[in-house]
Amino acid sequence: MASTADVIVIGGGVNGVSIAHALAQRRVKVVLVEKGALASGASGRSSALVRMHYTNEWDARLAWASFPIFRHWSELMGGPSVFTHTGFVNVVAPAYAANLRRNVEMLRGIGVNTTALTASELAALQPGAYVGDVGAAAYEPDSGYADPAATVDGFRRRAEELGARIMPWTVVTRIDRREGRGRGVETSAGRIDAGAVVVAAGAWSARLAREMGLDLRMRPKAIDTVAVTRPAELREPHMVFIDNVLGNYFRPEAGGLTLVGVPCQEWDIDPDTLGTGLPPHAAGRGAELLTHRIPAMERATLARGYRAFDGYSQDRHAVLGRVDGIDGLYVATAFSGSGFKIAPAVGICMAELITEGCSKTVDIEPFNLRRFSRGQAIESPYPYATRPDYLDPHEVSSTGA
Amino acid sequence: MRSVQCVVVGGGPAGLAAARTAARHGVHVMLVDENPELGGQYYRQMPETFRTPGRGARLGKESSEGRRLIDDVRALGVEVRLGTVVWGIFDERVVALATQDESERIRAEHLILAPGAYDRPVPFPGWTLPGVFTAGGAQNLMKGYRVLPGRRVLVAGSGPLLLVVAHYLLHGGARVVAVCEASSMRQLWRLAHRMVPHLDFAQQGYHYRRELKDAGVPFLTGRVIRQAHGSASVIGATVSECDGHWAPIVGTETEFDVDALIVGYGFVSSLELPRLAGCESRYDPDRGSYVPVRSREMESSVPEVFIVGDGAGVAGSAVALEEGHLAGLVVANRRDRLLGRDYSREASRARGRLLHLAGFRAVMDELYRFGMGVYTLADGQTTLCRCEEVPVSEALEAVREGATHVNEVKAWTRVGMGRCQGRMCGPALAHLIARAGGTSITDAGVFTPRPPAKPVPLTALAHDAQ
Repeated sequence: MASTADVIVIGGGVNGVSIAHALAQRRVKVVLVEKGALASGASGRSSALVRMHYTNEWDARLAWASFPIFRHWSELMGGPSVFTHTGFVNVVAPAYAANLRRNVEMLRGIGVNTTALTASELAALQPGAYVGDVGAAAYEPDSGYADPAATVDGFRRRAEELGARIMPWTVVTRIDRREGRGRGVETSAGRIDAGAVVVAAGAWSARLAREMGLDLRMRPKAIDTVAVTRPAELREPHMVFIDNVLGNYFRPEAGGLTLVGVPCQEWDIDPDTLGTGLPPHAAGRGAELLTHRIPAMERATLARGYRAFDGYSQDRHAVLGRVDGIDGLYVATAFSGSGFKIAPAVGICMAELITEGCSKTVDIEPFNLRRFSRGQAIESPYPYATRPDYLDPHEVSSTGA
Repeated sequence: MRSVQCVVVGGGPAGLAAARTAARHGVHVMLVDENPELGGQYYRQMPETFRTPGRGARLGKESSEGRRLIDDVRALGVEVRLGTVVWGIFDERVVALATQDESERIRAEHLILAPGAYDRPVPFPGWTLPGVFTAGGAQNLMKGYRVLPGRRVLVAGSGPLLLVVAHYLLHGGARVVAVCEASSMRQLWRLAHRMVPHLDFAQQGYHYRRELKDAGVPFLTGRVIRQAHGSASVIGATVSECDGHWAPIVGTETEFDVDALIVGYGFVSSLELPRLAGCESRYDPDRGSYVPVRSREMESSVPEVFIVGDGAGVAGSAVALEEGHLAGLVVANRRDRLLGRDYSREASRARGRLLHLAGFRAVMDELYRFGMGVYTLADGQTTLCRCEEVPVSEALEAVREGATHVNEVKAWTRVGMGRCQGRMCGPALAHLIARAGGTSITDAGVFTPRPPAKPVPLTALAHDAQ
């Protein structure tokens, strides 16, 4: 016996549950299927930075629309708060200082509370930070980070309260494409018929889409994170840092820990079989990056480390929206390691798109898949140095770039 | 990267014996241990800085036996790395080492893991109070540092170590208010005839019991610790009778005034390093713990990775010595240092001695068969994960919400995310999931092992970014 729904969401990460929640809020009969436990992919091991600084307006608008939901989680979603306020800085090398100031202007235009700092202003704001190679920093006093598992669980709980059906441990075996319409999925728990299907399966999306003959222009890549225990003199939490000089980030974590993102260039991994342990060199690299920016971290200890993954698109920005040529098929995927902080707005925008035909809260048209075939990849007018983990060493060496 | 013929991890009886045998046959051996001295828990040597001339520099005969083994290993030119943790084992037997200031990665052509065991952690109300010690921890304190855990001490749990700990306590001048053994010990007489070939061990046990009796210390069998009382530190303990599965019987409680409580329910193999190396393990319901899968050459499921001693199933120092020796022989043989007939003769002698020792082990396992009932001692407020301070109730809530695996509970509640990497809460959590969720302990699983196996100073790592 096939069951029916208005919309099926495939993928129980933060974006999947956010979409399911936003649809349920609009009284849409929604079923979410997740092949494992919720948040068992990129979301569960996300560092969950909550900040608005982007070098393009569209991502920034999604982050800005999401921010109130993180900040006022208990009032809006019920349940305990998921957000920790620390303040945030994005630091760049002197060559990019002018670009940073332009981006801060753009963000202020949207309404974001942010200012540009000089290196010495940063040093005053964050004692202990090495600023010798910093040209400028964008400061967001209100930003911080979230608890990723609690966020996913909060969306799940609220979505279920609103009538959504959440089905973990349910594997999608096939997405129906007959008559050009994505009108149902075969799952390990039986067939589900629906008017619309949303693929929000993170690193698994590319494979699901490929089985339907669809190229999402994305590749799964590994992500390495190490957690260190701060020394006693650094017990007070520091701000969240994105370090564009060195190409990584770090943020405080409960229990006197600091999480450090270690650039990782391992592409085309299989999310089903990838080990979750650190590769041998990652801990050393993380130590180097962190102690460069905060020298007193030399007295920190490596507490743990883990490997996660995400789907990265060709231009390292999300792929959102309707899929041309397959009626009723939507995608919200390829978040390229940056999908957590925008998930609340992605949910709302996707729900608006599905129920009303276009997204109103933020225009997500620039994120449509067709941008790649039309040569309209998302570009930043005032970019910074390319993050090392966006580069595929093989691609770089084969093009000679 | 430097390549070493044979890396032995762990400087206790098993690791020392492996290093000695391999080195004796001309294999270049690097022996790594995180402690400042060789010897492990059993041959614990006092740190140099704690030694005072003359009286009491060493305790017990095992200490001098250990000294001889250590001297042999040194004399054979084994490359000894002390104060060095193995924080990761990667593909192709790449072993990541770190001291306080340096780190290094070494490719081991043969890798012998002798990681030992640690006290089986069993949560019960009050187990996190200052003054509550594990039996192994208390023994370490007394043997290694000549520090008494307290003046009025209750010893509880199960196994022969309780008697040894009581012996050290009495020796150090503490008052032992009672020793509570969870096992009923009713099997003792039925099993007595099987101990005949092992009179030396049996005599040792008898000697310890006799000593307790002479000191007027009650030895209470079929009793479990229910609760430790106190606010700043432990001031009292409640003990009650238990059934055959060590579940407490309500209404049989007795109170003791104490200033220290020592609890030991035996040991579980330290499987972090074998798991990091990718070695398979299986759950042994009789032991109530996981043991690695091994061939009769002591080789794990990963080629050229050997596991010996208590880390391969807790069996004590005599077994550890033979297993280490056997692994050393196998490595020497595979490196063509010990050929054909000589190898066969030596290896079959070692196997013969292991077979003999297994008889005694079987008696001990039967006598002190672990009772899962102790995992019902904790109540909702009892701390399950000490590092992240997560109470039992939160883990139970996660199970009620549908979590069926330890990794899920970890993701939802932070259980097992702290410094100890889940060593303390892992076994209790698996039992909790199995009981509350109606699944099996093996389905509840184990925490995914990831480097670092132990915390590593960042200064050490920052110079290892090659």
